[in-house]
Amino acid sequence: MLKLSRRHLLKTAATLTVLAAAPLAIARAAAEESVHSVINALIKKYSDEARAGMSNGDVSALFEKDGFRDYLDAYPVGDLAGGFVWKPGMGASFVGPYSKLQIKSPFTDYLPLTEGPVLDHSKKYRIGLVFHGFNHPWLISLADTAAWEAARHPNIELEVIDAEFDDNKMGQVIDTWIAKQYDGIVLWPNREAPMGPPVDRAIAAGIPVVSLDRRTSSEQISSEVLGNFYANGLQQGLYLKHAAPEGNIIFNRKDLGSTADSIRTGAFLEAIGNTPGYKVLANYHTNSQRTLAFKSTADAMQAFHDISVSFNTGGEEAMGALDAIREANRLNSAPGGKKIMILANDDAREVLKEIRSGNIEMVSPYTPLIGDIGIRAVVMHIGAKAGLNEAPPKLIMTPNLPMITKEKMNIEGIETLTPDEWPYAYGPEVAG
Amino acid sequence: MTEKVGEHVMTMSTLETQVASQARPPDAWRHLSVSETSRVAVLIALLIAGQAITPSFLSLANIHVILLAVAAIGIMAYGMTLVVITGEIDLSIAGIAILSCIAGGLMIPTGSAALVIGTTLLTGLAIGLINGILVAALGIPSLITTLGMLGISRALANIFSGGQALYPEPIAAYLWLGRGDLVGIPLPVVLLVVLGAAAIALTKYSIFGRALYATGGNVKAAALSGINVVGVRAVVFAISGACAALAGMLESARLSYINPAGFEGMELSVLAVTVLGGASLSGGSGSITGTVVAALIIGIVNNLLNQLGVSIYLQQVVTAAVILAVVMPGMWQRGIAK
Amino acid sequence: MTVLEFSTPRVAPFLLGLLRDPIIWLILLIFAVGTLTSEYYFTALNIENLMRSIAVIGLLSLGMTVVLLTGRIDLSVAALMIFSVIVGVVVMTEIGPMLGSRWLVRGNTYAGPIVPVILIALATGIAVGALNGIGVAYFKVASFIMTLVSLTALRGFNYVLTNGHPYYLKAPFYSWIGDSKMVGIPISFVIFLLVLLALMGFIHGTMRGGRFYAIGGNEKAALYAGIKTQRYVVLAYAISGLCAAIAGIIFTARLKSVDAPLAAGYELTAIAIAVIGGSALAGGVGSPWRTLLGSVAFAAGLNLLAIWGVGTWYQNLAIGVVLIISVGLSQMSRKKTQA
Repeated sequence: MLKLSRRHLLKTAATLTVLAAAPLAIARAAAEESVHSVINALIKKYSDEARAGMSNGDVSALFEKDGFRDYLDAYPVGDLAGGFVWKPGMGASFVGPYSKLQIKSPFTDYLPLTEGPVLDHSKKYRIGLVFHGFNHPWLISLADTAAWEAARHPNIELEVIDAEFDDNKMGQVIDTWIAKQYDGIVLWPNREAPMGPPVDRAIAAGIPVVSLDRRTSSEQISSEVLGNFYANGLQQGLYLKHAAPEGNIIFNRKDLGSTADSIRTGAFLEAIGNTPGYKVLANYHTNSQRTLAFKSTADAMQAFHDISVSFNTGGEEAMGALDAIREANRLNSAPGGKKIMILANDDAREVLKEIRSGNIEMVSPYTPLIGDIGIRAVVMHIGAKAGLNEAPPKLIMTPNLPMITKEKMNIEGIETLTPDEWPYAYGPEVAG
Repeated sequence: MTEKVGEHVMTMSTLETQVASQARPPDAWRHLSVSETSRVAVLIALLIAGQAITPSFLSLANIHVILLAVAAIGIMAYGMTLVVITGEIDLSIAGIAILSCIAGGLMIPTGSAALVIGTTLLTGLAIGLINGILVAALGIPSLITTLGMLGISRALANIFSGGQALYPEPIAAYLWLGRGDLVGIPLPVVLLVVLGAAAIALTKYSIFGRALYATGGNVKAAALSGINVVGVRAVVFAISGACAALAGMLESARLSYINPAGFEGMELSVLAVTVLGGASLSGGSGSITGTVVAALIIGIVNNLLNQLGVSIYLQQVVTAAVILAVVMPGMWQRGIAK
Repeated sequence: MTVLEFSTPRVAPFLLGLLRDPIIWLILLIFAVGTLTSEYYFTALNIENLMRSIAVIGLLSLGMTVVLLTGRIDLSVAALMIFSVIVGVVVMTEIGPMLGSRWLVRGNTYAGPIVPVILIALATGIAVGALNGIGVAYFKVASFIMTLVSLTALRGFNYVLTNGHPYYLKAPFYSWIGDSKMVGIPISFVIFLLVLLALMGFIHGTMRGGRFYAIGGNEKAALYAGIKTQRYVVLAYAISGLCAAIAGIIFTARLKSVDAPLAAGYELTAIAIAVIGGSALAGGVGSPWRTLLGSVAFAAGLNLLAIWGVGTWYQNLAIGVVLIISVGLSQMSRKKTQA
C-alpha cells in the first residue's frame, strides 16, 4: 500500500517538475537552456507521445512484453537539488585512489562540502560504502570518487566493501555495520527488492543510508542519488531517429528486470515508438557481459543479413557487439552497403576511442563519478540528525549529460559533445 | 565425417569397457557412462534440424562462428577430460584462466609477445601443477583443492590487476592468437583441432594414455602394476591448467580485453561438456572424441537458439533438456543398479 | 556391518571425540580472537547476524551432507531454494483469480495468504529433489550431471516464471520468520536447529537412517544385503530438496522478497562446508552434527573477517587457503589414525 502511494507521489512530483520545465525549454533557445532541463523536456514529450500510443507495432510489442510502462512511471525525473546548474567543464581533477587513473569528476560542486573536518570536528565519523564489482571499471571509478571525497575530510573514516553481486552478502555487510554502530552507510544496490529490508534495518538503528545510482525498495532510505537512465535511452533513440528514419535493430540488453535495462531500453523504445520504419530483429539479454554480447551478436550476424542497428544498454555490450561485427567482417553490411550503427551507453575511455575512430556512432554518458555525491549526502544526513545542518533532499537527481558523437551535432535541441570535449571518461586508456 | 566420429567413439567405448572390467567396482560418483550413440544421434539431428530451420546454418560463415564459440570451452574440456579420466575433477579452470591472463597481461608494457604469452601459459601450467601436487601427493580431494584454488586464483587476479581490465592491443602476436587465421581457418579453431588430435593420440595411442585410464579405473591396482600414479595425476592437472590458460588467452585476444571478472561459472559449463562427452566422474572412462562431439552439441544448440531469438533464460532450460536427452538413454544399455 | 555400527546411538564416544576434533578448537579460536580484537564481535547483534547466516548455508549443507553420505552430490540446492519460493508465489497468484481475489497487487507485492506459499514451496523442494533422485537412482544419470542440469534449468525457470520481476513478500508471518527472535535466538536459526535435530534423530537413531551410511560405504554390499538402495537415494535427494526449500523460505523471509538471480553459487559453499565438516565425497563418512560445526566455523570465520573490515579479495583468498589446509590436515590425521 505504502509502495503504491510512494510511486504516485514520485510520479506526481516528477510530472510537476517536468511540466514546469517544459514550457521554458520550448520558449527559449535550446542552447541557452541547461542540458538537464532540455533533456527532461524531451523525456516528457516522448513519454507523453508513447503513452498516447505507439504506431510502430514491433516496438510496441517489445515495450508491452517486458512491462516497461510500470518501470518508467516509477522512475523519478526532475530538477537538480539546490537549483544546481551543471555545465560541461565543471568539476575537480584528481588521481583515483583505487584505479590510480587520472579522473575528472563532473559533479564535485553539486551539494558541495568544504575541504577539512566535517560536522563536529572533535568526532570521528565512520562511513561504510558497500557495492558490487571491484573489478569492473565503472564500479571502481564509483568507489574512487567516494574515497576521494572521504579523504578530503580528516575526521571521516571510510570502509569500502565489495559484495560481489551477492545481494544477500550486501545485506550481511550492512548488518555488520549496524552491529559496529557506523555513522552512515552508502550503497550501490544491484537489484531493488532484496536491498530494502537491510536498509530499513539500518534506518531503524538510526544510521542514515544513501543509495547511489540504482534504487532500493526501502521507503525510509535517507536519500537516493539517482542516475540518469532515462536520459541515456532517450538519447539513443533520438540519435537513431536523427540518423536514419528506418532500420532493423538487434538488442543487447542487461539482465531482465534490472533498472538499467528497463529504463534505458524503455526510454529508447518510447523515443522510436512512433516512427514506423524500425523493426526489432532480435532481443538478447547479455547481462553486462562482453563475451555474451559478442556471442549473441555473432549468432545474430548469421541469422540476419539486414541488420542496420545494434542497440546496447551498456558499454561492455557495445564493445562485444563491435568485436563480433568486426570478426564477421560485417561492419558495412547494413542494407545499401551502409555501416551497422552501434548505439552505446557508458562513457568508458575504450568506448570513446571507438567513437573517435567512427566504429561506434554515439554513446550516452553514464558516469560512475557520483560516489562523492553519496558521501556528501550521507554526511549532511548525519549532521541533520545532530541538528548541525539541514538534510539534503530525499531524491537527488544527477544532471542529465548530453550524448557524445564523433562530430558535433544538434539533435532536437541537444548539443552533442565530441570525445575531445569530454574529459570525464572513466576506465583505463587503450594503448595502440 | 560424423560417422567416423561415431566409429572413434565406439572404439573408445570398447577400450573403456576393457579397462573398466579390470578395475574395481567404482565407488563415489559412480554412474553409467553416457550413451555414445545417442550423443552422435543428437548431433546429427541437430545438424539436420539446424539446416531445416535456418538455411544459412551450414554456411561456412556460421560454421566458423560455431567453431569459434566452441574453441575455448573445447580446449578447456580437453584438459578436464584428462583430469576426469583419472577420477579427479578440476573446478579451478576459470580461475586459472583469468589469473594466467592477468599475469601475462602485466607483461604487456614490456612489449614482448614471448614474455606475455609465455607468462600466461607458464602461470597456468604452474597453478595446475600445484593442484596436482596437492591432490596426488598430499591426498587432498581434488574437488576441494580446485574449489579452493578457484577462489585463490580469482582473488589473486583481482589483487594483481587492482581489479582493472588490461588491453593487449599493443601485442600483435597475442591478438593474432584470437583473431588471426591459417589458410582461412581461424587460429582458435586450428588450435582446437591440433590440440584435439594431440589429446586423442595421447589418450589412445600412448603409454601415458593407458596409465591414465588405469589410474582412474583403480589407483591401487595401477600403482601395484608399476604406474607412477602420483606423477600421472600431477601431469593431468598441469595440462588442465595450461589448457585453461591457453583458452583464456584465446578469448582475451579475440576481444583484445583481459577482464579480471571474466569466465564466471565457466568451470561448470566445461564439466557439463566433459561429462556429456561420456567421461565418468568416478574415473577410468571418457574420451576426447566424445568431448568434442559434446562441445559441438552445446555450441550448436546455443547458436541455433540465438539465431531463433530464444531468450537466454529459456536457453538455459533448453540446454538442460538437451543434456538430459543425450544422457537418459544410457539407462537402457546397462542394467546394473548401483 | 556399517548399518549396525551407525544405527546405535553413540553418545559417550561422540562427546569424547568432540574434544579431539580440531574444528571445535578452530571455532573456539575464532570466537576468542574475535572477542579480543573487536568490541563489536561478541555483541548480541553480531551473534544474531552470525546465527542468521549460519541458518541458510547450514540448511543447504545439511541436505548436501545426506546426499554426500550416499556417495552422490547435489548441485541444484541454491537454484532450488529460490525456485521453490517462486513456484509458491506463482502458483498462488494463479489460484487467486480462480477464487475471485487478486493476490498480486501493484508493485508485484504478494498480498495473498502466506502459509500456502510456504507449503507449496516445501512440496516443490521435495518434488524437485525427488526428481533429481529418480534421475540418479533409476535413470542412472551421474549425480553431478543430473543436478547440474537441474541447476541450469531451475535458474532459467526462475527468470521465465518471474519475467525478471521480483515478488515482494511482506506478510507478517513471513516477516516473523525472517526477523523475529525466540529468547534472543533468531527464528531462522531455531528452524535450522530443529531440522538438524530431526535429521540427527533420523540418521543416527533409526535403522533406515543408518542405511545412508551403508549405501555410501559399499553400495553393492548394501544391495546384496537387501536394502532397496534406489529408494534411499531418492529419499536423500528429497531431504536435500526439502532442506533447500526451508533455506529458501528463511532466506527470502529475511529479504522480504524473492528475485530470480539470488543466491548464485551457494551450492559450492554448501559442498565446501559439508566437506570442512568432514563429509567425504566418496560417501559413507560425515554427519549432520559435524556439518553444523563446519557451517559455524565457516560463517564465524567470514564474520570475523567482515568485522575486521578485511576486503573481499582477501576474504576469498583466505577462504580458499583455509579450505585446502583444513581438509588437508584432516586428511592427514585420518591417514594417521588409519595407520
